[in-house]
Amino acid sequence: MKIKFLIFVLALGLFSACEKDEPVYIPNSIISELGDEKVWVVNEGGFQNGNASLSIITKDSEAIQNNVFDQINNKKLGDIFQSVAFYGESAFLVINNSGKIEKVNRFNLEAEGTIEGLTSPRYFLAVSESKAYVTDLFEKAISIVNTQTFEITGKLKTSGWTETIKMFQGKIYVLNASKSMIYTLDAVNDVLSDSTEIGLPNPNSFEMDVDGNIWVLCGGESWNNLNGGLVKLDGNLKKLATIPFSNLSSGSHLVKTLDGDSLYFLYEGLKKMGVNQTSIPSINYVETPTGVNFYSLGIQPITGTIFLGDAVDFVQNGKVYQYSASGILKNEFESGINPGRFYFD
Amino acid sequence: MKLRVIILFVLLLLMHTSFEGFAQKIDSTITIKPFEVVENRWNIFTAGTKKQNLKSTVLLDEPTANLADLLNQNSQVFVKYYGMGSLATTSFRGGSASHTAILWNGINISSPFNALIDLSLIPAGFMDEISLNYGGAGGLWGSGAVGGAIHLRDNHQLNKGVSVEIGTSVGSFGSFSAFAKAGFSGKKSSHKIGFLSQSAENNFEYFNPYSNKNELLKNAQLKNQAIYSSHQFFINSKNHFNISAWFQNTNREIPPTFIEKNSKTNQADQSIKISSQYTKRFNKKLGLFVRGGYINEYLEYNDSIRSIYSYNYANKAVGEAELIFDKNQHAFNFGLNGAFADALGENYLSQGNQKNIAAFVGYRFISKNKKLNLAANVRQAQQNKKVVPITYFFGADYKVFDWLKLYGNVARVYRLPAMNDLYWTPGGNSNLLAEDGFTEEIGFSIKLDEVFEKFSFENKMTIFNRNMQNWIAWVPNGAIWSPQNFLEVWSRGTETYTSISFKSNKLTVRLNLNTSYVLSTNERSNAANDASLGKQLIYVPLYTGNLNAEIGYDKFNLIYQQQYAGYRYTTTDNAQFLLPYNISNLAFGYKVTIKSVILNSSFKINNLLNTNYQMVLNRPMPLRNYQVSLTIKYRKK
Repeated sequence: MKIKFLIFVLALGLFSACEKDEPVYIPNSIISELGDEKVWVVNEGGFQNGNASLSIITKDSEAIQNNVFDQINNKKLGDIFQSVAFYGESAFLVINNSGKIEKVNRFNLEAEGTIEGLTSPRYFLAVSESKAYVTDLFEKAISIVNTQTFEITGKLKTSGWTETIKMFQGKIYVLNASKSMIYTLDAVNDVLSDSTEIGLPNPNSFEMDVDGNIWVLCGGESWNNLNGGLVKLDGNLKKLATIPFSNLSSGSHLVKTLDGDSLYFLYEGLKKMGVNQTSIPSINYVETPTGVNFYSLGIQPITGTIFLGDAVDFVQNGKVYQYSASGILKNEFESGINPGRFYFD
Repeated sequence: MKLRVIILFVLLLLMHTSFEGFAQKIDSTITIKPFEVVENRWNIFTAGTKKQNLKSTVLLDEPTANLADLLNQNSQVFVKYYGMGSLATTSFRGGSASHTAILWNGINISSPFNALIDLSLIPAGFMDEISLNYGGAGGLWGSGAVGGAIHLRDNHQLNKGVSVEIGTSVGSFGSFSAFAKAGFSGKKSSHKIGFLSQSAENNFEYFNPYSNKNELLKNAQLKNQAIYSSHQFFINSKNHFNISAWFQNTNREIPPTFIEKNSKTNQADQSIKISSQYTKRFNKKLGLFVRGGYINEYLEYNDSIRSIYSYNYANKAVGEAELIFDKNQHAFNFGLNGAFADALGENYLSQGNQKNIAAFVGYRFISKNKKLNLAANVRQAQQNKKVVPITYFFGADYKVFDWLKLYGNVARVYRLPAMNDLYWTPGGNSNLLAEDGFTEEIGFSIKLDEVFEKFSFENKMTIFNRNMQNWIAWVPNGAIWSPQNFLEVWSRGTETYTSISFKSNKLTVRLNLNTSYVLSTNERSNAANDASLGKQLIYVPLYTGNLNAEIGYDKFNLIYQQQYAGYRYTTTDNAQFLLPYNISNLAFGYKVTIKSVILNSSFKINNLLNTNYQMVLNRPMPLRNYQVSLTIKYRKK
């Protein structure tokens, strides 16, 4: 009796854990025709998880294709996908924590080479077939890179964290996020000049409007009790106006409409503001779905179609909402992890 | 020739000091009388819980092993390593790393910063006893005893004479350890001191799936020194005083992950820990225990690539007084506990501090026929004047036969927010509540000694359930992350322990098997698109198991170890995961005794099958590697 029971217990002990635990694995769909006028969705991925990915929403907006870079090039994109920049027939994918930039063909996304050895690259601006600038979070310098030989050819010393870099009317502007400054960059002599203090903390994005004025969006520093807001400067970086946020909520993703008379940005939802307005609109342009915090924003320049990303809990696949220019919800897509930015062909 | 081969392969030996010693350890929790050990709550008020005396179940005796390695190979606790020589944390029954209470001589030694402890830095060889209390017992052990509690203890005895032990081990990737321990126990006092020094380069080669080639791990050096000292003074038969001090200094480089080209990060940890206890025995029934503890931690982190340099200090002082009355069937206790901590440094804009106080009472009943043992404990805690829900523990053991015991308990458990949760700049949330929840478990244990004369068999099986609420999660709040009492987590599962042994004159064969099945799922979400609802928590494997097998013959022994962990998810929607791993080790030992000197040598092959695996995403683990150890023990009465 005792022995039988013993055998039973032993069997129970040994085999109580035999249920299958294999996760359901959904293979990525085969890449269909990507076409032109794609929407590039930058999925940042999780820090040190190496799961950054590129998603593409095709022109007709019928479908999203995830993990496109990995599938086409048969290699992993890397850790923390920060931004995309286009130049001619190439696109440059800035992979922040991998310290690299992947150059790909803009149409078929095939890898054309990698610029490695950067510290913590954020944004990229190509000024010629071979020369480009890369801003950096930790390097305290803007790197000058050669996009043909894939070498770092020089460093432009800065103080602190350089963020967005853009060219408007032939002039290059750069944000310094940690010092809250905006500079112009002379691409002939590789020098920074005309630095202006923005006045609000944490500038993260800027645009030039129809009047040639520059709008800088500052995220604020809630932990130091400092509000963010919008700062308007003229093309020569003379400060014209400051419109602070009314509370400590963070703002990001400033985008202008094609004609440059209105600005979109995220601040407690999606805001749309005319460039002649003097205060932050109190109502959202589209209603934020319950339980969603918009993490990113992109506007298709020609159609005005609005793309909004939801990172959910930042540790799972995100969601992308597509609205028409007039604010009607058209589509929802499942993206990769942390959809942080949108780019348009 | 053939015979020799057979002897070599089949015959082995026990690496424990002696079999008597082993047996004594097993029985210690049963036979020891009240007031003779340092921490009595463990012996008197823990009916209905599953306990494991870790050191007695360890087959492979490695004096320089750390607690993480011992738990990983010999318990049902899942240990998560960030790499070789790196941070190692626990998950007890699907809980978080801060859901394990670690008590050293009765003092909770979890870090005031983050309420957890790096198990890879605990020198297990200096601890006389390491006991695990599976399951939640907040009423007994206070904050953090949610998934389980680990008790580290010094055990002093009088008139044991002088003992000296020195040892060293040398292994692959530049690993070197040396230790020395000395003990003296006389008529009135007992003393132990120990010193441990470890260093390793950890510069192993691994396959990098991102670059598709083999790479050499860089910036992975470890240097660790520990000094340990423990004393007991028997003032007279009614008054004892114990004091232990433990100093540790660790410098670690943090290697790059697969995706980082290189790393120039290093971390320095320094800690001073002191525990003391004054025991006053009024008579045979009544005793008073006054405990005091102090912890000082310094943590420095330097990442020269990202220009991050930070340093933080924390101090914690613990005081506890406990009165125990134990007479025949009934026992009672009553106690007060106060823990005061402060943190200072770059990430604490203003000095953060915590005042945690608690009162606890307990009752134990043993039936006349000694078959039934009941325990009830209630604890009321408060943090910074904020009252934590009252916690309790009710447990029962029932001996159906001498060889079969049934046990079960219900408990309410809690975990207080740590200094980082409350005061970290930016993001800390000083309004956080304690995490709290309910646990239940039932189980049985079978112990058959000397069935068929030479065989012994032991089996334990437990089914548990736990529902936690107000689980603290750091969630983005605009640009910064901030902790919130947010998640609800439901954990449930089974654990088994099976041990079979055969012992004859010179031959010993033993086999220990641990398995666990843990479902730990997220039950709450505020987010509309949250696919994590109902899904397994990240880094909690559904299945884990380990096996230790030993064949010993006379002076030789051969030990085989195996560890398995199933899929571990790395995203909350369970879309990404790490593959299961199955790692085996093989050790060969030889022991000789010359008068009062015991010489112990061993050769160990880790990761015998050269398996490529990851415990934490993108952090490489070493392939096959080797280790040679030698220890010399001397003992004189």
